[in-house]
Amino acid sequence: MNDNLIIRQKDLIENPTPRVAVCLVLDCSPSMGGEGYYGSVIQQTNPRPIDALNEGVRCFFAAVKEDEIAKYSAEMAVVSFSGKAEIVLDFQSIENVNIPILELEMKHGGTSIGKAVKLALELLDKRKNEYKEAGVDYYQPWLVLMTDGQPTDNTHEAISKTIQELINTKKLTVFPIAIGDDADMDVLSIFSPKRTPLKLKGLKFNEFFEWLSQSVSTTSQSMPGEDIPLDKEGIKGWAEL
Amino acid sequence: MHPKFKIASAVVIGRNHESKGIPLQDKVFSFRSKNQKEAIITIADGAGSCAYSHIGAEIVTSKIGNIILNNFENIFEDLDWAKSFIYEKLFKFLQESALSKNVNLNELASTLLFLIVKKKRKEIEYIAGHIGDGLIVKYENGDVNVLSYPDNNEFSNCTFFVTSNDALKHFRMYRGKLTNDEGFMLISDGTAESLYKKVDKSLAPACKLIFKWCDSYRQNTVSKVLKSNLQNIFRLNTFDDCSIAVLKSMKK
Repeated sequence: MNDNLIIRQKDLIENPTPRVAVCLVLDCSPSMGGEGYYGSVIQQTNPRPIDALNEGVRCFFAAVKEDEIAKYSAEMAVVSFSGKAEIVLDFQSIENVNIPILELEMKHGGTSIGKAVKLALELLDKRKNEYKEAGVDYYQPWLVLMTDGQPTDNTHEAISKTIQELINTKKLTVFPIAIGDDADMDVLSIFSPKRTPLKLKGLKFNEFFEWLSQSVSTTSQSMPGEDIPLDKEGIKGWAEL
Repeated sequence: MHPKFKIASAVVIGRNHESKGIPLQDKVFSFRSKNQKEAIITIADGAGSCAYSHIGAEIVTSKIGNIILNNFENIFEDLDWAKSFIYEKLFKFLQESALSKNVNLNELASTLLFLIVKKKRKEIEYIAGHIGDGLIVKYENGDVNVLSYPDNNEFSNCTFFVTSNDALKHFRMYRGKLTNDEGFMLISDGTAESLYKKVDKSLAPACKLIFKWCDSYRQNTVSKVLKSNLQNIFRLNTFDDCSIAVLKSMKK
């Protein structure tokens, strides 16, 4: 073909890859240390839930980084919580990020799910505005909430209304995940009006985060009008159904 | 007969659909009557999640031209009325197809972009329309501008379709006279990834280049060249199907 009939890259536009913002909201209260009283005896689980969680987060980041498409699309933030909520990692491209290591919050104790979710929503909102200003397309953001306990305050009641509205208007996808038998499934339910919250099988954080990275990869390749079905078979690998 | 205007179009399957064995969901239709009094260019992008959206896209692209040409004067006169009129006609075709295939109407979801021109005495008039993403570009006075912008929801994988409940609300129509050395380009969202800069809503230099090809080459050649460029260049900038259709009136 005549060279004049070949369009050169310089004559084209390069748009940024559409982003999938994922905010992990993770319980780091003392109970994630795995110590429990059995009568008068203190028993320690092995591995500690916090260690299994850290390994899962590490695998998640590594899997997304290895995915040719998701690594340009996925952006992660991590909020840890106990009685207070803290930003462990603010949103950024996963390519150059240092994988965060979560630590038990022994000083304050408590489990304030509401404060953590509120902080996560603030981060997501801020990031969406940054996308808009930069002309970057983005998919419906995700919020992953993992807890092993019951809230020690009522902050979740107010924020759950906002969450429900966002979910019902398809502006946010929330995955509430219970860790162990003491997690309050009723409270997690108010963050998931459309589907029952799931309970992690034992400490299968790796399996959960592997599933999550696959879901991020599928989303980052989706086209307009494409519903992104959850891999229900894959859920069986990590959740008690 | 020396051409008064030329048409060209092309479509290629996206990398995502090819790797998953999903049919090509972008459809194009182009037609120029022998006497050069009428021409149609139209493209539609079937919804990714709908198994029969390629059929829906085929229906709307093949039917829209005749719907408009058979009622050109009335439509040109009153675009507000025309939106409902056209929508009802298209909806009926889609409904019949959904019934005959025993599928839900929403499974035939697609976007729609069209341009129809008709010569009336010494003037050529055009009617254009657009539902959903993709864009319509106009070439005039040697420059290119967006006539109709992508209509997306907030999120990247959301747009509006002919079958959407609020399709009429999102149906945009345009009309005018086509003079010498003017043109239109219909671009699907896959192709737009290479031709339209989202951050400042500007167009790539390649848009002008394509209109210039129409001046220098036969329309069949332009179609072949467009296909080759979609296949070898545009397709690498997106996972989506890519389609494009062009109509250009000749210089005096």
